Amino acid sequence: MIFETQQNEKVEIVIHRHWAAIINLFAFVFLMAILPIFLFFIMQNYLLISVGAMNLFIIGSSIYYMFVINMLFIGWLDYYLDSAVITNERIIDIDQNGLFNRTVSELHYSKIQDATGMQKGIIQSFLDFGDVQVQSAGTQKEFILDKVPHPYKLAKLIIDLQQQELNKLRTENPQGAKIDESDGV
Amino acid sequence: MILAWFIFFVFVTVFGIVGSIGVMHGKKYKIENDLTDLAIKLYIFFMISIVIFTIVLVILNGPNAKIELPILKSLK
Repeated sequence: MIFETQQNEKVEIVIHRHWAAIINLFAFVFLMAILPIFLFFIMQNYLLISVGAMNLFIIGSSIYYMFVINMLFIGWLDYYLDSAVITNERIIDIDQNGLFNRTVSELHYSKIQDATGMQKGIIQSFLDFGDVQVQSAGTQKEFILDKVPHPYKLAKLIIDLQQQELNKLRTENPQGAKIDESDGV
Repeated sequence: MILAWFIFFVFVTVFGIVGSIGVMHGKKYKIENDLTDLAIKLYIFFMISIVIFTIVLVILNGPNAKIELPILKSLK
């Protein structure tokens, strides 16, 4: 695990971005992959190639394919490591940008004011993915879980978990649990 | 041909280093029971397969074959 759960904390769901977020990369890689094959057929049909030249073409194509596979692997890691973990106590948002740029943010339910699911456009509506915007009290930054599957269900889950956490806090603290609007000062 | 092989293995080394960084990163930041392990295995498999395939194909073709510029079939 990339983070440690606290006592009595249970992971409810781990969310990765919807596959539609990476379809562009796969389409681009596919087009790049068929290019040497296309060139090979043109060479076979229209050019007289020596064995030595064909060996050079094989070596060049191999270098090209290694580049394409590396690009696909790094791009997939960038997509897949971008995730959100929802536990019974907090939301952890992990933003991966490239290999060396990573941001991990967490938001406790006591600081959440609202969670909204959003879908924009025909593709998001058809494939049922979109953004979940979580608004927090205080000056903590707003969480946006982008391009996640089933955004409305996810927003409802967050609200339900927040209610459970607030009820638990009220039980533990009869003075009354409320949304924590402090800035920690 | 020796130059071509040298360039080939330089690129294998470079891509190997980049890929290793990606593999270490993936193993470090993966969440349990996700697809990262499968992706890493597929990546290593394809990279090794390309290197082996290239070496075998060139050896089968004739590694010391003379390199000549290609010409259009219609001009012959």
